[in-house]
Amino acid sequence: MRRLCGLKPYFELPPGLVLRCREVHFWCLFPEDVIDSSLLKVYESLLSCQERKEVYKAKTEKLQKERLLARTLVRTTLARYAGGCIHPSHLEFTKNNFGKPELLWPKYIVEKHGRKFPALCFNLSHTDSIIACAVTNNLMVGVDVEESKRVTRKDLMALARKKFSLKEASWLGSFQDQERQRQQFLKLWTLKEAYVKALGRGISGSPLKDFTVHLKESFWARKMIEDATALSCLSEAYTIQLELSNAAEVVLQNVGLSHDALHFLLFQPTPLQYASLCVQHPNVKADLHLSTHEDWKFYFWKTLPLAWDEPLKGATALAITG
Amino acid sequence: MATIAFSMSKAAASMCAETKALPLASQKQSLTHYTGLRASTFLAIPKTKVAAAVQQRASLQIRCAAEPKTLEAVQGIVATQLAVDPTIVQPSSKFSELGADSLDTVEIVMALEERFKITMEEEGAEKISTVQDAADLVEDMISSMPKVSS
Repeated sequence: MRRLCGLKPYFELPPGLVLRCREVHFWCLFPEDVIDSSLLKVYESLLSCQERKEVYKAKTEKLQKERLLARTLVRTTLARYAGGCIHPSHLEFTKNNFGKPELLWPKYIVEKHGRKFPALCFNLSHTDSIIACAVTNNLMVGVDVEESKRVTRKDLMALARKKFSLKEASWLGSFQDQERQRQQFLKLWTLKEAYVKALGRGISGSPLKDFTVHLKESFWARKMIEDATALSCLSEAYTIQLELSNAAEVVLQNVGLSHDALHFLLFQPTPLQYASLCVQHPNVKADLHLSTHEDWKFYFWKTLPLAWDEPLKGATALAITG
Repeated sequence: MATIAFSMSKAAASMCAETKALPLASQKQSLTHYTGLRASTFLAIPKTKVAAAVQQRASLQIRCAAEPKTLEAVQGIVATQLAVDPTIVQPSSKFSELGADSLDTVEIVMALEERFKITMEEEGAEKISTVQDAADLVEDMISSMPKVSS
């Protein structure tokens, strides 16, 4: 149910919500839901000075609004997991050596609560119609969203030959129907982008040609999707398998991951977007000692920060690692 | 104008990227003024000891601004790809500030390759962040292509 709470200076988790170690939380904001311009002013007040400057560097009003909403979503979302102790504007961010943003809990919070605070990992992606933020408890995560109706100016196969692996380009070429081919291209694109973003080494650290994402129609995909998410699923669901070149294996090893560590979920938050999540599977974390493979869960919410949030209904899952 | 190419420290390179393109006339002036600086001399001076202003002006020698025609063509390609008003596409505009995502960047690179009949190597293409960078890289690629004798 929507909760019209009025504007709150501090944020609580929706009742009964925690971020457990094996969970992936996906939050999204639809810019079309932001109709009140005074709300935008309030959002601006949540940002740091530097972030505000970055917002206004964007060259059109639409892009400025997108940047503003993106920073707002990140701040308000992450603040939720601090149980209402932290104002979103107090969060600090840093970047790793490759430019991937990371969260720094404010010092006074760490001093007060110490190690009880979750080591949150997050990733952000946005397009015209959606802003998305994925959050995990100390699992590497990448998210990428694309407009499902996006039409590239360049020929799809030329793009695939340039950027995708040989096997991916060949797979894409097997689709005779232009529209189907376009859809498959975008799905592959988001999956590959999510992988690069999860690794956090930048595009030069993990070139797109160095790994292959295989999408295979599978009878079992539907069950795996149902176990891991509460999303509805088409009968024609796919499994996702990742094949790495030697170079890509080395990159994984350098960040302390085994070759099967990163798992994917491909879904549509609404029919207008494709979204991919790439997450470090909790079973592969040595310190968790989990024995089963199904034991991770995805949760999905949509929100208008400071106003309401509700479970994301109507999303459809398309594929999952298996 | 010949492009004087030598490797720079990453910090120096990033300073170049932020340098706004000067009109050709004043570039000629700085060339005359700093002609005495040999590349090896420049590199031998630790970065911290070189005044930022000097380094910035010296770096203009390194990559001369692209021809106006090239820049104009690049601006047009970028404006078309990103579906924005060409007037907001300035040489100093960053692709990200114009709304380019990673797929747009790939398409822009492909469009530039087609238009100028060049191949951009991966590393170069990844480093371009502004329209001016793209135009400069295009010129570098053009000038390093083998000349076809007629």
